Amino acid sequence: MTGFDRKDMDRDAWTDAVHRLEPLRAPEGFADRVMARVSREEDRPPAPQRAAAPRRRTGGAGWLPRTNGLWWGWAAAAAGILAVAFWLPSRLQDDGSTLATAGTAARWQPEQAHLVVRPSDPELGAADGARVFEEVVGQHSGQIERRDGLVLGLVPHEELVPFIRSLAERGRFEVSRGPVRVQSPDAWPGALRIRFEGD
Amino acid sequence: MRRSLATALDAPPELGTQPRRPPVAEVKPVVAESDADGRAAEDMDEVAQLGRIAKGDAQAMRHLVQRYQDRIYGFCCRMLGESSEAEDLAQEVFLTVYRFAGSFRGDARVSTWIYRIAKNQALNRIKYLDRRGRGQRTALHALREEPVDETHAPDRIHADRQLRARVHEALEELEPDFRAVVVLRDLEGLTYEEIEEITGLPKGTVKSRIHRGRSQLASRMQRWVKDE
Repeated sequence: MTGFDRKDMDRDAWTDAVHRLEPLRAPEGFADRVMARVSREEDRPPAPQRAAAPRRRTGGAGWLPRTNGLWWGWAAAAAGILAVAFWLPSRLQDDGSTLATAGTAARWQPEQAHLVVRPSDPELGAADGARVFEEVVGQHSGQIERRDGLVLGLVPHEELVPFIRSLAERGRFEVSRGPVRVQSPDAWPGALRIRFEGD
Repeated sequence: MRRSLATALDAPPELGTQPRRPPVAEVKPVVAESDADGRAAEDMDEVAQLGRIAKGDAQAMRHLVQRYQDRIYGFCCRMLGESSEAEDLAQEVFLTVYRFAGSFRGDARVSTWIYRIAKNQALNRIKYLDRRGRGQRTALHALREEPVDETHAPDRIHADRQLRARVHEALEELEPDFRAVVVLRDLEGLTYEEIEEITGLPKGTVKSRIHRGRSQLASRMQRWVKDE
C-alpha cells in the first residue's frame, strides 16, 4: 500500500491522491531555451505586423481553406465520383457509343437508327421525300449524311416531337421505330439517329 | 494545492489562544475583494506586458515565461505524460504567445489565454502522437518528472513516487477532453469560470466533464488499491 490507504478510498481516492501531489516545476534552463527560440523567431516578420494582419483563414494557395490534406484527398475523390456519375451517362448513348463518335452522321450505321422515316404519299417519290426529309432535319438543327444511297439524319433529342410534326406538315410520312430504342432525354440527351428509306 | 486555503479558513479558531476570528462568511468578501483588486492590477500589468512583447521586447517575454513556465509545463506534462514532449510543447506554447501577443483582444485574462493556447496545442499534439503510433508508455517516465522532497524518509519518498506514477497512469487512460478539464481544475487549481473561458464550453458541460473524469479516475485508483 502506498501513499494512501483503504480508509482514503472510502472518501475519494482521486481527490486524496491529488492533494498529495506537488506542483510540477519546469526543468532548469527552460526559460533560456524558450528565449533562444524566440530570438530565432526574430528573423520572421515582426509580431505587431503579423498581429495586425487579418486572421489567416487560407492555406498555401491563398484561396484554399486551411484544412487537413486528408480532407482534400477525400473531397477530390468525391468530386471525381460525382463528375463521372453525372457526366458519363450524359455522354453515353443507349448503344454504349459516346456522342463524340455518333456526333456526325458518317459515324453511325443504318442499323443503329432510332427512327425510320418512309414517305407514305404515293405521289411523293423517294427523291422528293428525301429532299423534304433533308429540309426538315436542317430546319430542326440536325445534320444529314448521304452515304451509299442512304439518307441518314441526326436531330437533337428535344426536337423529336417538332420534327415529326414538321414532317407531317410537309407531306405524308410514316415514322416507325428503328432497331435501337429511343430513351428519355433525361437518360440520354444526345441526338436521335433517323434513317430515311425511300423505297 | 489551492484548496488547502479553503480548508484553513473553515478550521475552527482555538479558544483562548487567539482573538476570535470573524466567521468565514464575513472574511471571504474582504479577501475576495482584495484578491480581485490585486488580480485586476496584475491583469493590467500582464496586458501591458503582452503589448511590449508584441513590439518585440525580449525582456518582457522572458518575464512572462518565468511567470508561467511551471504552470504551463506542468499542464503539458499532465496532458502528455512525458517530460520531453511536455517541454517541447510548452516551448511551442510560449512561441505562439510571442507570435500572437499583438492579437490578444483582452476579453479574457492573460493566464486564461495562455492556458487556452496550451490546451489546444496539447490536444493537437496528443492526436498527432496517437497517429504516429506512440507506444504504450509505462509510468516509469513519470517517476522522474516530479520533484521529490529528499528530507522525507526513503519509504515515504518511494510511496510518493508510486502515487505520482499512478496518478499519471490514471490520467493517461482518460480521454484527452476529460483529462484537460480535470487537470485544469484539480491539478492547476483553476476556477470553473476560467475553465469555461479556456475550453469555450458551457459551465454545465465543464462541471459534468470534471465529475465524470473524477469518477473514472477514482474508480481506477480504487481498482489499483484493491489490486495491491
